[in-house]
Amino acid sequence: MKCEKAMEQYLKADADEYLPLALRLHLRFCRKCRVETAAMRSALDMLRNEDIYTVPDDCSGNIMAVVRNSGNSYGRRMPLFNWISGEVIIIASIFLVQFSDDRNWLTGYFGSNLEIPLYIVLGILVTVYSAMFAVSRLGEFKKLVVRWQNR
Amino acid sequence: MEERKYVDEYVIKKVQQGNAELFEQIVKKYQNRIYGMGMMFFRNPDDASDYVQEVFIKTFNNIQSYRGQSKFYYWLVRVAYNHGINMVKGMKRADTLVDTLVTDWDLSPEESQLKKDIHSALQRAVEDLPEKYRICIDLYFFYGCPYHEITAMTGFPVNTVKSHVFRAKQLLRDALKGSVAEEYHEM
Repeated sequence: MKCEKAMEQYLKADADEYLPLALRLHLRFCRKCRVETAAMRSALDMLRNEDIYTVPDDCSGNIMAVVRNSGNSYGRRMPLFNWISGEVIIIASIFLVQFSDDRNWLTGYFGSNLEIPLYIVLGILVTVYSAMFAVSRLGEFKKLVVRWQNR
Repeated sequence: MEERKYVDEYVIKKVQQGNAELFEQIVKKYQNRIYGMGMMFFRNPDDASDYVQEVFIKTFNNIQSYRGQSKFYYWLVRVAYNHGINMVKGMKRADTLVDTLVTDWDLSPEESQLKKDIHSALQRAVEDLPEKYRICIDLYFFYGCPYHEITAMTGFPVNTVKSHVFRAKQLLRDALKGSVAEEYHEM
């Protein structure tokens, strides 16, 4: 690889881009290019690490005061994806339970009276799960209601 | 008590989980950078200070939408850039940090000379650019944003960003030839 081509390739590379093997080999064996790229790299590092301006007064106190008063203490929240996955699993289980051998055995043992208590238990499970989801996302539900009212 | 330093993404994860106090680390770490962006947009210390506060409060309020797909620093720069652009809509263009590069640095003669060389190279690169593209130079050279982040922030095509940055790098390379930096690395 020629020096000019190597340097052009080096300059075209992005900030943290992995350099191609041919270029790395060239830089290893060509002292001139190695010196040039090292100078470029230190100039770029210098520019990136330097704070050109310094805030006249530390803003962190004011910002943290607002943060503390904002009431956005999120707590340990479960991601939305996990909530939805849980819901899907519960609904799928309710649907699939009628094909289960255990259910057939229970029906055989308790008779057809099993149906109502079973579905009451499953209904309570879904209700509790939905209520937990709603409580954990109360802020977002509130925003949705406000947006809907302001329409 | 010794204050432990964590990587940004870890701190943000903790903030997302409810430890809002850790957000102060982020503010302290990046307030100068965001202030620089404020000066770039407003050219006025008071407005820039207000801007810093607004950006960090906005960042905190939207912290749950940070999914960790890119570095938190880039996400913060993106929030700051979008906020600045929204605020200066209809006002005069944003300034460039290149203009303030040398004047604020108080250094040894060699370092000062090197920075003057870098400054003049970047200034030439910026002068040749249409005003709206000057932000690419600032975001790449001063904020360390990669091409795809600059594209995502500004909406400019990635090849346009690449070509402007490439030209600036070529000018920088010419400026560094025979400079103190090269002499240092030749040793």
